[in-house]
Amino acid sequence: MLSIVLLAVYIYIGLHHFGNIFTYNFLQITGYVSLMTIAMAVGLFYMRAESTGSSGLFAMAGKIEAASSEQSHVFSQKFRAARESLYTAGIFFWLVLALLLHSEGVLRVGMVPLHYNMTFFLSIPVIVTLLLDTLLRICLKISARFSARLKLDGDLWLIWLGLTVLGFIVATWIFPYSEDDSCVFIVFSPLAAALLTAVARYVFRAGSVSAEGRSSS
Amino acid sequence: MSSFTIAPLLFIALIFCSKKSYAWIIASALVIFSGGPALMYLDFPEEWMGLYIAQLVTGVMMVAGQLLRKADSGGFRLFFRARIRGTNDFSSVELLQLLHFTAIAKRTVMSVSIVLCVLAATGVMVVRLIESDRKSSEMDLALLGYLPSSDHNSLDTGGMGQSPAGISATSLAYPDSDSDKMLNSYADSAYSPGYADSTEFSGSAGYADPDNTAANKLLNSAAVLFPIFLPLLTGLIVAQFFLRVQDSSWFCAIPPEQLKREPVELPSYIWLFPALSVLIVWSNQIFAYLVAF
Repeated sequence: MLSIVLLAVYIYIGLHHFGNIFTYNFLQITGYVSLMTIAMAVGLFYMRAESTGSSGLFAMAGKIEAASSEQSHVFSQKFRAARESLYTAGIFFWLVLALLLHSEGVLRVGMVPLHYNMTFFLSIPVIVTLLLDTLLRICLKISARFSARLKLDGDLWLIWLGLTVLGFIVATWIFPYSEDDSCVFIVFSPLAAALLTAVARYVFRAGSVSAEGRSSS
Repeated sequence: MSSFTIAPLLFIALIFCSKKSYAWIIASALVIFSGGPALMYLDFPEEWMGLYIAQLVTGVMMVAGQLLRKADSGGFRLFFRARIRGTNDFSSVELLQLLHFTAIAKRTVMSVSIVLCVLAATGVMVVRLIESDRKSSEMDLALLGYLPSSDHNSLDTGGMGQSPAGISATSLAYPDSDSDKMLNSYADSAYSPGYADSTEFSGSAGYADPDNTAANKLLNSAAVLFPIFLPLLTGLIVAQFFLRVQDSSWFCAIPPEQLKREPVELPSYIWLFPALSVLIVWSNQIFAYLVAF
């Protein structure tokens, strides 16, 4: 749920901020990067040992209600392999983008200083990874028809990174021409994101623990 | 013979290679011979190539040492057997041993590249911190000896060769006495494709004043990312593609129920690095603000 809210805020800021200031088309770049990331993630997933077996990931999610514990274990293995392939693809494209920005020398964007551009470009693969991760979870939940037996574990650091990148983007959005204020916000956004993640983790963990207690009692 | 003629030959050999076991040798040779000209085409400064080679050598030694410490000789033997003849004649126990070994190898490669990346990033940050009270256009130009040509940084007082004495990135990068000579030769050779582009572009965009070194200054924040994150990219590629750990064609004989996952394949804290890159890009401004504060 947190990631969906994050994505909505990203899209809002992307449309209202980058669409005006930057000459690049935010949605177009995001689309390209996400297509490449999907292709690479699917390729990496089918290279892995966990992807073998008679039934695929979505088919197993569809039969999760009647599955034995062994089968649900296999499903969680496959899900983690798929998630990891996606993360590898995302971090690969982030690295490639960081190195490409170097080899391009300079970004040909009008009046915007380069570090603002870098903040923008380096955050695109992160947003794409978050988007694809959320889509994967939603598709799995739909194919399992929102069964309660479907356990999809999240990645704490990825949520932290999403909040951090959101902080970076907001800092460059609010203070487009004041570097001092921006850099203060940029330094503090990882810390604030860590705090928020810890609080969210605590709240959700408390909720899940009480739910488990109710179900067992 | 130049590598431009070797690469197509290797590609043809790869296509018509009937013996699949040696295809990976040809493929890696192809990557080396086509990657070399690509690196040349991108025009890296020579210091960075030297640094990258040093990082690679260090990384290979660290990986070898860690693997010799962690893995047993049986794992190595199984790995080479699987590379040459495939895993068709492996027993289930041997397959599980091989899976364990490959997981260790992949984790080692990833950890070593992360360590190298963090070391390089720390070095850059320390140099920035030391240099942050000097002129910002001068400070990270001297990082790794990467200098613009003298006509592009007209704001600098008296050029690069006459930089003030004291602790500087230059003296850190080149402890020997002839560093100034080397820097001068770099400044004279007018080696700066990125800077030429930036001034060209800012001229066309209507930047009339010659004092516009902001673009030059900021360009270096991006440029410094390269020596930091290249070892990480190399480690990721080696771990994912070259080593092809957990190759499904090797382990398809094991049913998925028996596959014991190794605890962490791609470490979760790898998500620190995108945030780190943005902080590095902004570190000029951050340290300048801290010093002014």
